Amino acid sequence: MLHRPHQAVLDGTLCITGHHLIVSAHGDEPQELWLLHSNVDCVERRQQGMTGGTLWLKCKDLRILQLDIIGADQFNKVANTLEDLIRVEDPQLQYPFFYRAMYPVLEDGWSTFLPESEFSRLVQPGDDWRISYVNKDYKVCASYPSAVVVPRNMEDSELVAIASFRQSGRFPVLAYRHQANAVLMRSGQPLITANGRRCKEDERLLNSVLAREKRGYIIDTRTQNLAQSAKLRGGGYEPELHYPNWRRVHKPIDRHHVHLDSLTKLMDGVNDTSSGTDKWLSRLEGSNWMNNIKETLNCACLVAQCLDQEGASVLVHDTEGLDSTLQVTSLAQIILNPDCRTVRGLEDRSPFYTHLEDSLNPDIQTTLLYLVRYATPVSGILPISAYTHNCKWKVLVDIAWGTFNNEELFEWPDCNVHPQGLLPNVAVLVVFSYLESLPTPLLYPEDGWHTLGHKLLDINPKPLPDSYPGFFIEEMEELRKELPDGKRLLLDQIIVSIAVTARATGEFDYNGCLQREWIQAGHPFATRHARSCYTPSTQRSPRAHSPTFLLFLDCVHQIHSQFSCSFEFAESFLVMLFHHSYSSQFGTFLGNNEGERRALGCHDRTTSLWSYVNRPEVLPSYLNPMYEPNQRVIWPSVAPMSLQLWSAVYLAWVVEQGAVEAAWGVARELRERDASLRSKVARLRRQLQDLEREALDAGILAVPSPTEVEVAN
Amino acid sequence: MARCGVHLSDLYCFHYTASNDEIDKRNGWDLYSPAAEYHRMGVPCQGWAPTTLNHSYEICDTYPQELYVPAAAPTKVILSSSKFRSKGRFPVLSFLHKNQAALCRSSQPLAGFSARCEEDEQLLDCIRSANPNAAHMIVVDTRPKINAMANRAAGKGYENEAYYENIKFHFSGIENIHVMRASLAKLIETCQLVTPSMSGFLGGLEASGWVKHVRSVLETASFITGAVAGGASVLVHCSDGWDRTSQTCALAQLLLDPYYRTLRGFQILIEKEWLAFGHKFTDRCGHIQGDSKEVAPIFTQFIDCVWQLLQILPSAFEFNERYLLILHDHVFSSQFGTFIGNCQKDRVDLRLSERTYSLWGYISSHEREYRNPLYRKDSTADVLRLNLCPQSIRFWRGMYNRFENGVHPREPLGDLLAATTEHTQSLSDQADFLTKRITWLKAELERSNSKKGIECDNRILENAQQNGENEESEIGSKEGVCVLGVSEIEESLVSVGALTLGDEGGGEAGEVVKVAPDATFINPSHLVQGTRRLSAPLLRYQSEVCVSPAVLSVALDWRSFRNIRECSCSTPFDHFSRKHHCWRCGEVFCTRCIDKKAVLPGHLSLRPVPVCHPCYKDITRSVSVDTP
Repeated sequence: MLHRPHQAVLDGTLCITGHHLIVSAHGDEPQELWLLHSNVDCVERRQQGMTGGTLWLKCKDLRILQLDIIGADQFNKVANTLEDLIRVEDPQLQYPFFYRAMYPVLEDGWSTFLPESEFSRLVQPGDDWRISYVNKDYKVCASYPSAVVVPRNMEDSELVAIASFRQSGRFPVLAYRHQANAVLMRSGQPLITANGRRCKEDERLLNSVLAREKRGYIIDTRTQNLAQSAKLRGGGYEPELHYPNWRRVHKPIDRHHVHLDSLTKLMDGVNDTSSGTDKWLSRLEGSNWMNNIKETLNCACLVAQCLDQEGASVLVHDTEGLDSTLQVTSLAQIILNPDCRTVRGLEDRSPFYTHLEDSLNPDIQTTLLYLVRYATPVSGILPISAYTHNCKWKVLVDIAWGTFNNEELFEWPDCNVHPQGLLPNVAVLVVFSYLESLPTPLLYPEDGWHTLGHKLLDINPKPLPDSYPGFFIEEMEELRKELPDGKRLLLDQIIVSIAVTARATGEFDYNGCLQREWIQAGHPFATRHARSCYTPSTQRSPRAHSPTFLLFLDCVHQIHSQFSCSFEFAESFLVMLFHHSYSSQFGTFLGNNEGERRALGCHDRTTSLWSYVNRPEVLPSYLNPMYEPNQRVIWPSVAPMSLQLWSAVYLAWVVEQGAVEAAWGVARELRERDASLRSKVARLRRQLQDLEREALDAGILAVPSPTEVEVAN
Repeated sequence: MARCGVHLSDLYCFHYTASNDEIDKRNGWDLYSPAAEYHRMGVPCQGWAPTTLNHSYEICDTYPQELYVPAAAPTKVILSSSKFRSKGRFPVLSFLHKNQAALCRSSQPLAGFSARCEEDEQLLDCIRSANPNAAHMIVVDTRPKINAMANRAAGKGYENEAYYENIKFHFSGIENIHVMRASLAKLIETCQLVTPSMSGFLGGLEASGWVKHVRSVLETASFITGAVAGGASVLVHCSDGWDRTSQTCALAQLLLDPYYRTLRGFQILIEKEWLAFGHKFTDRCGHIQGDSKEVAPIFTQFIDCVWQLLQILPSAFEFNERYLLILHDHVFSSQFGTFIGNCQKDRVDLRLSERTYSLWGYISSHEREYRNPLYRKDSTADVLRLNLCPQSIRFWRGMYNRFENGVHPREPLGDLLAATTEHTQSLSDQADFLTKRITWLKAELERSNSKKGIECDNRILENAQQNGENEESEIGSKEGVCVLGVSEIEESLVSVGALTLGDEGGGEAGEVVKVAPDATFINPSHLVQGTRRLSAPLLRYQSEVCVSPAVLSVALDWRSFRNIRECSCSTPFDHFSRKHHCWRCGEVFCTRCIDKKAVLPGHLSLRPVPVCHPCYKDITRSVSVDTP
């Protein structure tokens, strides 16, 4: 007998596999519950004599399941097994290593984040910064990735020296460049010690970052006292004497040690629905959770302010630089950088196909060529030699481009103009329309594609409005549906590849931000998330276990709820990340750092979360229907009344969220209907215009009189 | 807020005249008709009948004229019962549910420690037996038990279950007006803290008790809802039956009947439960100087409760947060006569319906601003059942921190969605227009083609080839002369918009065209052009001027709300000011700059739609030019 929140009691059979707990219902309705053991935080049991007993499975997604088991013997067996299974420590036995995707993987999420492409925005040729592979064996700093961005004038040997001067070897690296000279860096604390140790290389690195006459800020997320006392334990902070151009600011955020406690208190309050309002409010206050959010956001705003308003460079660190440092640097980027608010960083403005040549695998190239021929109404429009001998996408694009742009092509004897005057080359239009239907515009004014888009799809070309609506061609979407399954898959692969490559040139989307600032930067997910708030305090260690990442997601949610149109992803995306970061079939959040993941062979042996999320069937459900790209800096309010408890996470299992989700569905519907009507009207206008011209030629209509034109304008 | 007058007649509403002459002074005063509203619930019926006993407010001066009582209750019973109830407010029908369970309201009985009134007991029994489906009825005393006990000492109190047969008694523990007044004062204090800390804010919120009180009102309403939906009739009272009773009865009906969740239905609900049954608005809101002990945020609390429901069920209500705020504003503002006075008799005596404007009239001309774009009639069950655990009740920042611009979301979703909905309307109207016109043109082209087929002979073709391309432009200008008849029709069709492009218009135009072809088909250019069209670059056409200017009279894209801080008239936009789009040019304006409506020729329905002042001028000017 299984009791779940918001759902009817399930009477069924329990089955425990190596990774799952499965309850399947008796009776006609096929109902099942699948629960990963790694999701279970703690098992509580209450035995009732020989008749059996009740198990409470308290999950890391904050859900509490109640399992009534008949028979004392069975009860104990189940309870013992579960307790063993949820404490399996060896990561190699985790489910991601056994999970195989049941769908064709269009885009391998593991290869999406290659350091070179990822850093391409941070480092430009002839720049003051370079990518260093000093850590390629993870020996200089175990928690850093193999490639990091450092000032160009620092030699690798100097970096090694600095690493020995910084906590856990985390020497200062570049996290984000706001404007030309304002950079955001992060590191571990300097190991000043009580003796006042110095490191010339470290001083040189920091000073070389600053332009002449410029000051920088070191933001220490500890209190002054804490930083002071850290000296006695071999740590410390940068003394002004040796770093004369850097101003040190202490902006205290509670250390991660207290966060789990705070979450436990919060959830105690949430799960007690029978007490009064007063008790709930005092528990909410007592948990200090909302205060943690406020302080974290506050600090992130301070960093963002230094970068944006003073144009000053900032170095952020706490003790290790693994928790609050990462929260602050990533939040500051979300505030400052519009690209971090998108799911796919398609906002890159450079022509996207320059990278395609290398990234498309030969098969896809062949397919693409096949597709062009297949979908072209009359074969032989394009000179075949042009693409058989030099089958590079760029060339192909250029040819396709030519078909639109070059009037001569229209003169070809067998060129068949589409009845509606749309296009001769359907295949390219399919690709094109598909790109256009992506929620973020891929194409920009400087880009030929955009102009083309306007010419083809809009009767009235005009400058881009603030919000760029993006085109959507229904017929082309239908055409895609009509393709046989295999071909449609190929088409999708092509499109995804294009998108991937386009993104590779601007790795600054939200996923990229997560990847760089959390996963690659070495936030120890495996350790921090091994236990969550339901584990009794005796079994956990405040230093190791902490919901730092959840706190970060909550802060993003707070900004999201204040700027609900500026994020490309929906709130549900954040909730999904929360769930997967604690327990997942995917390997993305396994291990503590890149080195561990490499050793485990995550890349080859597990599926990446992004492989799943980026599928065309999945991604739309995580997109925000209200999104309007916002290129500006967004300053969130941190007043207590502006911050709200995140009900989709903490209250999800206590208060039914269905009505709110349904309302989002309505909103999505409204926006989609509006977008499709817009394209319909644009299409009808075009059609009418053609007809009117024809009618004009036929003499049915007359050229409008000047007054009419005036009225219209 | 205009207050501190001594006499009601000093209030602003008696001096206010709407600047906009579109609103008639009578608008909205006839909104609520008790007969129609009770008829909607199926009253009169077997169990319930109207009574004229209070026609000139003789039994109870705080009750309305029209009252509905059990059909089986004799006049004598009613008269005696009213004497046994505080302020003469005897049990009357407030709402009759589909399942025949009735929701009744009254004031407390003058029971003291031992007094009883057999007629009052009979009346309750009549109420119970008017509902054939339940053997008992429920009496809800919304006060805490201890307050009710204290009232007994003053000769008032509550129904004794021993005397009243078949009743189930229930206390629900909502605090009195003095507690609520103090609670809101504390809440406001918390909201106004300068740079509050998180714990200072949450602590203040808890100490004020406001959220707790809101929840207790909602819980009572939810209890009543459950009872009525479960088939039992319910009588609700507090002390005088005009504060807590109004709150809980109105909320219960909101939960029971989807009609009250519409814009209009909610107005009816307020007219019925608050205005007709005598909530003392003038005293409670302090419209004029009076006893400060009488002032209490009872209506504010009710509005807060409704807002909580809006948060919990975003698609269940036709109105939005702004609607609640404007209601709340004008309950206090005394700009409109609607909420002046303490009861219906006061309002009749003051002749408010003749001397002042009604808020409902104002709202009906601004309905666009108050519609909830997420409203889906069928998204929720008729009867709403809620989980009112403490975690689901929130602090209403939009109300209590309303004027602190910094703390609100920067991108209000509701307005954006409302704009999307309007944009969709505009586009779908234009799509209809375009479709119609395309169909018409296609038919015309076909007709003219078939004629050509018959009448064109080889000689013309040869001519055409000889003339060649050079004449193309000349021919174009000739056309204009040739088909004057058609062009006139076109002009009147598209630019004035007075002529409906319906079947009639199409037919008429078609007839004229029949005459025209004589002139047209001699023109040799069309065939040549027809063949050349295939080879001509497609794109060249599309940037040229559109033939029908009507098409462009409707904006395809509307400007985004983002980063627009003020209207063109320099009125700054704050978080709660609604931004509007001009349907013609797509720019953003404030409410005052978009008060004009005009017909756009690019819409098939030719329905007047909001336009900005410059566009309005353009339209009116062109009409006067074209039709002298």
